[in-house]
Amino acid sequence: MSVSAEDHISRGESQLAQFAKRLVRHKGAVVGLCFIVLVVLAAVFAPLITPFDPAAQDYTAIRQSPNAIHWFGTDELGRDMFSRIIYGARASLLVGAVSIAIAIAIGVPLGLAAGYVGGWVDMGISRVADAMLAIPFLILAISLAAFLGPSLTNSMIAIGVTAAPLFVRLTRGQVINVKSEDYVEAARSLGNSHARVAFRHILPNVLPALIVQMTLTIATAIISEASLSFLGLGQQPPAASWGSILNTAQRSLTTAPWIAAWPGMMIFLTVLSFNLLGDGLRDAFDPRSR
Amino acid sequence: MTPLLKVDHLSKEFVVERTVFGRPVKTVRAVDDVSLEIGKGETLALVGESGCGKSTLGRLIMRLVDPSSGTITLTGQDITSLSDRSLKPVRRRVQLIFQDPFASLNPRMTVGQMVAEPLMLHDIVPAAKRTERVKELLQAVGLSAQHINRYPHEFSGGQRQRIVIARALAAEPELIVCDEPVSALDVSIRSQVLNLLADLQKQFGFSYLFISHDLSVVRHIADRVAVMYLGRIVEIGATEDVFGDPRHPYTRALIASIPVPNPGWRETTRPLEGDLPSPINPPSGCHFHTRCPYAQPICTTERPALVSSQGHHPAACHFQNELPAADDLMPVEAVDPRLSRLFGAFQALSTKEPAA
Repeated sequence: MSVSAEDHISRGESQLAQFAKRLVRHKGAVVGLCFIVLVVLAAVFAPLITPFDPAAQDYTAIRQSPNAIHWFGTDELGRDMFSRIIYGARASLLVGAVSIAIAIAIGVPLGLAAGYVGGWVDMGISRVADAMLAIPFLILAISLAAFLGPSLTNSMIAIGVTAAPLFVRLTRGQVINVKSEDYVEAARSLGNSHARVAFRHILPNVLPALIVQMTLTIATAIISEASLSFLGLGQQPPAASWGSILNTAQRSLTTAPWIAAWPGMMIFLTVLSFNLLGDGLRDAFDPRSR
Repeated sequence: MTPLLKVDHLSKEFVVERTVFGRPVKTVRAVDDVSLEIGKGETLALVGESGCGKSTLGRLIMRLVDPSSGTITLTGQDITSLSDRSLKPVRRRVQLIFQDPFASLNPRMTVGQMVAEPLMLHDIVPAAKRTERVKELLQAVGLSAQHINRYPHEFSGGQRQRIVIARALAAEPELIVCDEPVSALDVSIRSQVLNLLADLQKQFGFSYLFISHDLSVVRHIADRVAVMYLGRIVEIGATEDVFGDPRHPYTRALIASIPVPNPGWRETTRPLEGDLPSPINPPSGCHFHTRCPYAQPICTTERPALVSSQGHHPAACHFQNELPAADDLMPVEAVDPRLSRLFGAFQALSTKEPAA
């Protein structure tokens, strides 16, 4: 590969354009992104789309299977499932996004500090993270949510804090791995401050693993919210979230299976979409992939 | 005149094993009481086997590793214990070129971002003119200005090393520590990069600390040579003196091991036997006595000082004046005429290449 041969492919595009190009080439990521955008739009414009009030009870139409009026059927109180699913998307997506944001905001800086500084800082942070990871995810989330009091906001905080040690551990391990690379030493020798080395040189190289973890944890967060709602710690009735619908639906699983099927399918598809998008993002962030 | 860099009795101990309470049990003296000077525009080569502490010495001088004792002075300023903040202007003056060009470039930064970083950190060129300067630097090391938005993985080993050199040049340094800069490169690329390093030195007048285990390269590029063995300098002097009249048995063994491209040349010295002893538990007295063909009882008990004797360059051997003559180590005229014609042809080819 000679210098001159390469010069024919002159590339004037910005880095963002190159990134977008790499992402678009990933078919799964495009499908995932489209679905997520669709669900987000539906959640945002819920009042315009939904044919019924999600909380309106209709005792003349209890547990109806899907039909022309109630597209997704009705639940045990005669509420329109389609409307409830769309309003539920608001709560579920919000839980996914906000709790992940909390987990990353806590976990990544702590993991970076533990991995980069090492020594006693690492000891302190890692032991706390280990202690939290020793308790099953849901038990910890439930006790935190119970401590904070039942509400959607508190359940987001509880899930976020519970998920944070996952990011501490992952970031720490990745940082230790990257820290020993020559280019980090090169960055130091050029006169970069420790903070700049950590954020500008190490963090971008840790990002791919974090993105994958993020998409997996969004899924966990949405499902955890479902469990918290079931215990009355998450979304408060009559407002809907996919999790709370799913949990109430299990009482009529044999008689009206569609009540459980819709939220289950939505959770499944959303989680799948996030995973596909995460895969694509990871590859697109890597300039080596073409 | 004060030398550019002066290293005085520098030592570095690494802790190998600790007790449960963190108290060190075993240590390694990677660098053991080393003193040396580098003048302005000079190339000092540091040679020795792998594991002898030459890279650690380079990192100590870079202040990437903190020394256990001793001092490092840069043009009269003691930089041994400078804080991170006050070290920043010093970092600009001393740059590092790594062995492995595949590991020393951040895979997620473009060539332009990497070369521009020292310009930005030390505010050498105002932001508006940085791209222009980066392009100049890329051209100075034989790359094209169009490479500015590429990522490191798009380049070959030799090209990557040129990027590393451009990044070091951007800081406008006075001293460049080259840690085996060509040993990871193909033989065909080596001479190109070495010539580039030599040309740049002529052009900008900086000094090199050239760390290498390859004596044929060192002979080609260095003004002075320091030979290291197990953390200590055993011989130091002008290149022609060290190669022409080696005063330490270890240096002799190293020189004798340089491959000579002449089938008629007969090996008269025996190659060095045994392995490098463990630095955790180094031999007593002279570190080299376990492998030295001339070792005497005193060598096992007394550490020889690095002294010059009878007007020769300094060497750390008790018997430096009694060693047998060593003029048969290297052939004076190395090769037969056919071979040198062939080399000439290769040379002509390789000097044309970088223009592409």
